[in-house]
Amino acid sequence: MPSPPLPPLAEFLRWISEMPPVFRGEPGVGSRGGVRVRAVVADLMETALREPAKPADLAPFNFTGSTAERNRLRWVLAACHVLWHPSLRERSLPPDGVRRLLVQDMAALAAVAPFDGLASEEERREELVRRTIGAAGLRLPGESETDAADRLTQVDSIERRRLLAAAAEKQKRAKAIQEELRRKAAEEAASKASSE
Amino acid sequence: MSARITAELKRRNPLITAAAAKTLHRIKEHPDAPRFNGELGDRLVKADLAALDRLREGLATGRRARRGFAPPPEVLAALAAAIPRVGRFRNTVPRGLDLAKDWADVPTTSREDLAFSMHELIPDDADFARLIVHPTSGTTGHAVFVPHHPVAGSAYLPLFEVALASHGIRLSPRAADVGTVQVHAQSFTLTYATVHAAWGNSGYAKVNLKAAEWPKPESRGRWLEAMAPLTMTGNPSAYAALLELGTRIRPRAFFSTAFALAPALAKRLAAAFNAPVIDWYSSIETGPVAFTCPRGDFHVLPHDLHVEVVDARGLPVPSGNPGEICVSGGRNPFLPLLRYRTGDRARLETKPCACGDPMPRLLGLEGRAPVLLRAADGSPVASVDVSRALRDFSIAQHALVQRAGGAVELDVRPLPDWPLDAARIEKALRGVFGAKTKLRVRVVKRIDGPGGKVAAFRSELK
Repeated sequence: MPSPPLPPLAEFLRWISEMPPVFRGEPGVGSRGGVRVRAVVADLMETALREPAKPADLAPFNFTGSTAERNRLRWVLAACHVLWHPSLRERSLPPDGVRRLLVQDMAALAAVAPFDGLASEEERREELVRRTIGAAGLRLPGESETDAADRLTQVDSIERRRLLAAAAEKQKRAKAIQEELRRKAAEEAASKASSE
Repeated sequence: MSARITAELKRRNPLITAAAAKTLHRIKEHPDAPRFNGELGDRLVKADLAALDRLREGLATGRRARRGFAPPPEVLAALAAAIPRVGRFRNTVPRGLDLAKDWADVPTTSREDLAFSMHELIPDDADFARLIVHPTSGTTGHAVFVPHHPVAGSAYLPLFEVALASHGIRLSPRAADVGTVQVHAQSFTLTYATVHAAWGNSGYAKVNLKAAEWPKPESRGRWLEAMAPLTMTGNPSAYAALLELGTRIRPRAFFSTAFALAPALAKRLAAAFNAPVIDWYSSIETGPVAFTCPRGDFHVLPHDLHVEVVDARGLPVPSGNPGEICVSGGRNPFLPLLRYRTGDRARLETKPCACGDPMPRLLGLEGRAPVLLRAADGSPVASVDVSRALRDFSIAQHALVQRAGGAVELDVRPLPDWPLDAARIEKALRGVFGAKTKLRVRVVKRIDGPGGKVAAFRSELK
């Protein structure tokens, strides 16, 4: 029997805004308290992928205590929460897509976006929903593949950072070349037999 | 000073010979020589001479009649190689475009692009080791620092040879000769003497005919006669001053540059010196584009520069119709040109010319009219003197107008992120126009002109 269509974006946004404390909590390290992200991911993988995760697959979710890791693992927890949405939990999700989401996409997102943005910025919530649904190989109702890609681009922190970095790099080259041209203009040129 | 080849001289002229050093010494140390205010050399190395010989071969075989709008195959090949290396072209030329077939779809570039986006037009892999820079403000007022290469500067000489040959003159200058003297008549210009390895290591001098730069006013004529230059270059104002000197030099030809040459002046000059006067259409960013044949028509000069005339949308107009001159190709490794709009206008005529030169003609060339500007004391001011005064500021574009009463109004548009101080600019202008000239300088975000064309200099003086 085909799976029912996904609920609209608004439902996923509501789902995130009601995220339970276990997914909003601080990652735990050693014997100190906090959320065991590795355990949350293991649980999710076993449910969503219908098979226990291998220890190697769970290695990226051990918390070492650094600030950058903390931000990344908080995004991982949030992505797990979205994957726990009943409309996704009941489906068979692509293992590679889910792993890539949790390992690579959340690391890339965490590198450019603080986790606190999830609470304060609707765009970050939409971005997380779209990344998660995309990683699951699905689309929101009424959206074509192109629509989904376009809408993700509009809220894509990673792409925005890349564009800003590219623009900054371009500006840097522009400035460097202008300075080089001005420096050389002040130096001796080479002779030519007529002026313009 | 002796004719010794010093390390400094060798740095400026790596290929200088003892005979050439002797000529250079003669130019500079003649009792009537002007006070040269600069030192410049051709910077050519041996490999460059081979490149210039290849240019001569290309000119001998590649100057042929043009058919259709697209560039000839050799220019197309050079452009196809440049496009992937230049950011702007990569981003704007649609991938897979057939340059020969879809030439009119290739986007144009302009002086505005040079002023604001030079970094996108310089190839990614450009090696700046031999970069030299020529500043220009051109006819549209965009202040541009144009990246250049010593070979591109010396390429003027093989191009001179083509123009001279069209007038039946064949020259093979030697180290004992003075190949060219370039004359100016303006308040200030860089003057220097050197030798050009690309022209048999013959001597070359750029001089200002302003009397104050010479030992005595009569030194000018005497020095020119002693140098006996084979050719002369200069703008029409300088040639008018030369005629007033009444000197008895016998150059084989005159090249008239920078702005339009009035037919009456050309006639007087040719008659006075019994030599042809070749009008020369060139800009710093394009290099030489065209020269006048014995019939007086401008012919496209270099075989490796594709010249077209386009409408406002960048579409080529049919042969004989007026439009903007647009060029592609060239031999500046730092600035390959792709449909570069010069801001000048003409009609392109591809029908054969009675002179026998096969290259297309640019008829009714506009955009090089001299502008009459005057200082507070009534003395003439050359627009190039104003450009020089503005050169030290980070100006992207300027538009200067001198009103009928003498007041000077200047609008300047800054480069992004480079602040401009209007008071300092005003002070620099005062140095050119004099303390009593009424001046107004405005820093503006945009400069508009009729039909989108901005005149860098305009005068309402009668």
